Amino acid sequence: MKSLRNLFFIILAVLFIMSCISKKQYAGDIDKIGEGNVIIVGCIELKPPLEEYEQSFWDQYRNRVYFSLEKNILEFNDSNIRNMNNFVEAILGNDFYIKKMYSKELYISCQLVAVAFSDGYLYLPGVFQIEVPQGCKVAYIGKIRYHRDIYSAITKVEIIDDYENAKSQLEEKYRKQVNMCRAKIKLIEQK
Amino acid sequence: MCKKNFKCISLFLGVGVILLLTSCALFKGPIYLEEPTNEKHSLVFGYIDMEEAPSDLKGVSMIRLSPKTDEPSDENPKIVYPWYFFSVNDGIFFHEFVQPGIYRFDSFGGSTFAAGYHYSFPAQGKKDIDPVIKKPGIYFVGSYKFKMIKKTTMFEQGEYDIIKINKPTEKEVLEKMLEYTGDTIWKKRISIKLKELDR
Repeated sequence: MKSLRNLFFIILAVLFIMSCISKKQYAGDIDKIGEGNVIIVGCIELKPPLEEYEQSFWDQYRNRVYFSLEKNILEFNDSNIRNMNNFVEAILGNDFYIKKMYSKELYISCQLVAVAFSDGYLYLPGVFQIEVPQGCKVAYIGKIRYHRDIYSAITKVEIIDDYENAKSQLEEKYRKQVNMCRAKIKLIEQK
Repeated sequence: MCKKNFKCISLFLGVGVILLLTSCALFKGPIYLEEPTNEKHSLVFGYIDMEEAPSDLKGVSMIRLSPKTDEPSDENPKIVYPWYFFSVNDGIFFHEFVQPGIYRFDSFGGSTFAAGYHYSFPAQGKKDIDPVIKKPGIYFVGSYKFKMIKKTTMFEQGEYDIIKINKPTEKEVLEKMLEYTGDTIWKKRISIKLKELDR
């Protein structure tokens, strides 16, 4: 089943979405994340990466991936488009840093990669459950690597432990040592 | 699952298609096939029944997935964007300059007096309609019907499906296409193909 769109709706959707997508990556001081919060460090990667012709026509969407931190996956339609507020924007292949209220179980879901064709994105399947050790303030979940075939169908999902690299990048960013723990991550839904 | 209605990025292409369609709308007569400009060119064609659609069919687009580029040209020395925009006559869509490669149909569209419409094929996974062109020839990608699932107003999103149908057949579509060949080499090639289909 596919969606039917007319030009008017597309323009409306663009205006809504561009104003609603939240860029929730944490850019503050790593030592001042606030009581009860945790920084989630991870990465989403696409193999092979996007070709030039697949890239969005707009620079701000090049190599961009959007994902939700909710377990209940959101639907993008005109009635709940405001839920785009719950989405995080990250760059494919780059580590992201997200501040969340600590919970024993956190989630990543509904991964979308911006592209130039069809509906304007590729869908990366899977809901991931993250278990953060108690007391951990900076938690590394790993690199989620999606493999695709020539038709962009996802053929394999891997979780790569690139902890040392992520830690050194984080420490370089903040120019200080960071106590980063490993969180458990598992795929709980393949759709 | 995550419903696939994230649509902001498709505006540019959508607008491009709509502009193309609008310009096509000004031209009322049939579009004729042109002579191939190199020996590698194939004719790719198909049919979409738009009876249930809110618009007619004025354009279809396809992307070449492999090889990545054609020979670099003076105008575009680094990359050749692999988009193919098909001509349309009465629901029959065709492109007579298709190089060997692996392709994916991307979108189609049409218009009414008041608005332009842009529809997407699924972006991921191989579909029946997606051709693999190994050697020059004439390739039928099938007949399809636009099936309306949920009608909407201009301000709402609707739902549709594209289903494969048996009619018109490859032979019937090719016979109709003979009307668009003029005296090009395609007239001869289509006639040969029709004889092959009769065997």
